[in-house]
Amino acid sequence: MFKKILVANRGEIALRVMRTCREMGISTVAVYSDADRTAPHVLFADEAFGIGPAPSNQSYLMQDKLLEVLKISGADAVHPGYGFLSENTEFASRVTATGATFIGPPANAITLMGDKTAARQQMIKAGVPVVPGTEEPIMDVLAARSIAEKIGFPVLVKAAGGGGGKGMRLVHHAGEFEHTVAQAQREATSAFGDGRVYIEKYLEEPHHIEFQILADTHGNIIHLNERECSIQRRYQKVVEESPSPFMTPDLRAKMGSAAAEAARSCGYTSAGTVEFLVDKYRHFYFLEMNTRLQVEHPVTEMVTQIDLVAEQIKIADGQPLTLSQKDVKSTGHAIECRIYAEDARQDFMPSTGTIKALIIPNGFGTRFDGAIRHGSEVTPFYDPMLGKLVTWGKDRKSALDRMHRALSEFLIAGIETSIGFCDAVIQHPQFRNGPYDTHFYQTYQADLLGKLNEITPEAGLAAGLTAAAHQFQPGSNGKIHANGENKQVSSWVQIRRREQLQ
Amino acid sequence: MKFLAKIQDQEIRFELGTGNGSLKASGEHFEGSLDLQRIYPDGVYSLILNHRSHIITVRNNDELNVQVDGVTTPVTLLDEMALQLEAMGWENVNEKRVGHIIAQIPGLVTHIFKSVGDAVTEGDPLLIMEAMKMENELKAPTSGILQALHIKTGETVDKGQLILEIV
Repeated sequence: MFKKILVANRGEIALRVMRTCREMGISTVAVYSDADRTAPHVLFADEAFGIGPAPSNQSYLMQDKLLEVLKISGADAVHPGYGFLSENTEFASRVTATGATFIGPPANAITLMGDKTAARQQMIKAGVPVVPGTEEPIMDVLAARSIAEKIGFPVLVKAAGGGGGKGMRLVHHAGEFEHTVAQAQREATSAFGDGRVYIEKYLEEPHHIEFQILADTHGNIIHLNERECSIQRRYQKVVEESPSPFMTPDLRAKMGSAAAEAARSCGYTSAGTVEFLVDKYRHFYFLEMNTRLQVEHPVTEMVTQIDLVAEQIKIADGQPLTLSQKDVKSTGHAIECRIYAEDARQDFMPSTGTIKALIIPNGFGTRFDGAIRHGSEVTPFYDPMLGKLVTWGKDRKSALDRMHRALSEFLIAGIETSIGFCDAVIQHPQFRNGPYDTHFYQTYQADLLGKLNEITPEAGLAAGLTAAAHQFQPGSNGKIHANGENKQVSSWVQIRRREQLQ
Repeated sequence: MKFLAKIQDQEIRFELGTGNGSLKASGEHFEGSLDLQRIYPDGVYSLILNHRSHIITVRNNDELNVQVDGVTTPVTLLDEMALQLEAMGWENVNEKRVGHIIAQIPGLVTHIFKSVGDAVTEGDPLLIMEAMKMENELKAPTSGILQALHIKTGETVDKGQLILEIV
């Protein structure tokens, strides 16, 4: 077993990995940028090394510096966390070349799954369903139309040169195909200077559902069931849960074995995630494979009672899995809310500043994986995710009730956070009823954002009284003294003359 | 001290005072003592109001923002001075007559920043008027062209007098 692990990451994931290391009796090495000298992962670690200025391309992404720390510290393995260099083949290879172990899949599996076209080809070969469509941009409109007819309308026309919905068109029937393709091509040309488009089956009411897999170096592969990740905003997940309210035992068995097959086909080892889209008819299609630990992995840990980081470490050490597929039992229900430093009311704009007060929820079935403390500076240099709040309950209702309770308990003062937005999602009747699809946020945006501004008369009174007391505090003589400027929203601004105040 | 707090569509008038070492509040809709304790140095409070417990954070950057039990809302706070001005009719300047600026109290024009024909952007300082021993800066409530200026520096204006017009 490893004696010392270098965690080549920061924030909550660095801390989360180190926690398991310590439980396993493995010593930990942290790296930090100038902005992170007093960050929680540095305070927790046994050893810590500064690796450069705040911008990540001068610190956390500097392979040479990380390899130097690896050498100086004498660590015998590197855990990359997620993001940064976790899916960088070169880094994985360079770590391995030093004689240390890279805790993750083999470099060739990372390369294969990192290339969308190659991954798609590989899945087709392995018999894993992919979203039907033309793999290459359309050259001949009539040939493309006959492919569309074979796939079945509606189909989506998508730009090859870029995303963000530009050059994207829905085609409902064959009659409008040529006209719509031409429209999409024109739009793609003006948006990306590249008019190439391809077609893909349009999935109705799509769900984003992913499967956690574990593969050892002895050829054993198991899956740890699904996570439902359809609640997204700005193409980023916000709320995840397991099991999925949309899942059936039959579909789970099919998707689980497809996920295991996807991993097997590329010689995968370690923990990994196979992402699928599932339409309203419960047809599922491979989306991509993430060759690393996932942000939302605690959801799986809570229901399966399996520490995924410990499994990654044991697999990297060459140990065989101690579980077979039939040993995997999911108990109860788990849900995760990502706590971002952002303002939902301003289009989820990241919020920076100092955390001036912090109360982290606790209690039965409540877990917070974060890396913040009172006084933490939230800087613009890194991802605005502060941590993940996860609750477990014996069933979905109790997990949601517990999440609502935990969110109400959570206080992060000084910056805007997604706490209120997450609660609006958790409390939304459509979400509570489940199942919901990836259109949830778009469909209920007005409800969700409206709720963020709701203030009861009692809360309003409390706000007014406290604001007044804060601005004009009582002094020792019992009088109210001004403490801070009284801001008025008015076109008339008073300029008090100094001499007149004296 | 008397206050008017505007929170979304609520308007609360109340008076804050102290007695027996604790804060007291009274107003139209309530009467009672409030137990307000600071729990962190930077504007984070525990408020027990009529035996109901709230956690409140007050942030005063460009504007006053108050978070009550997780919901953030802007608060407009008018103190005694501002209330007096309001009582004399200084309020609602920009709401009632957007481009037509009428003197709400008598005063002395001490400085004019713009000339007729100038383009003005909402928020631009237009003039300074001295009244109630204070200098009051009048900012443009709307953007447009300064079409007419009915006063000169050094002149006094009467309440209700049309000062200038922005079109």
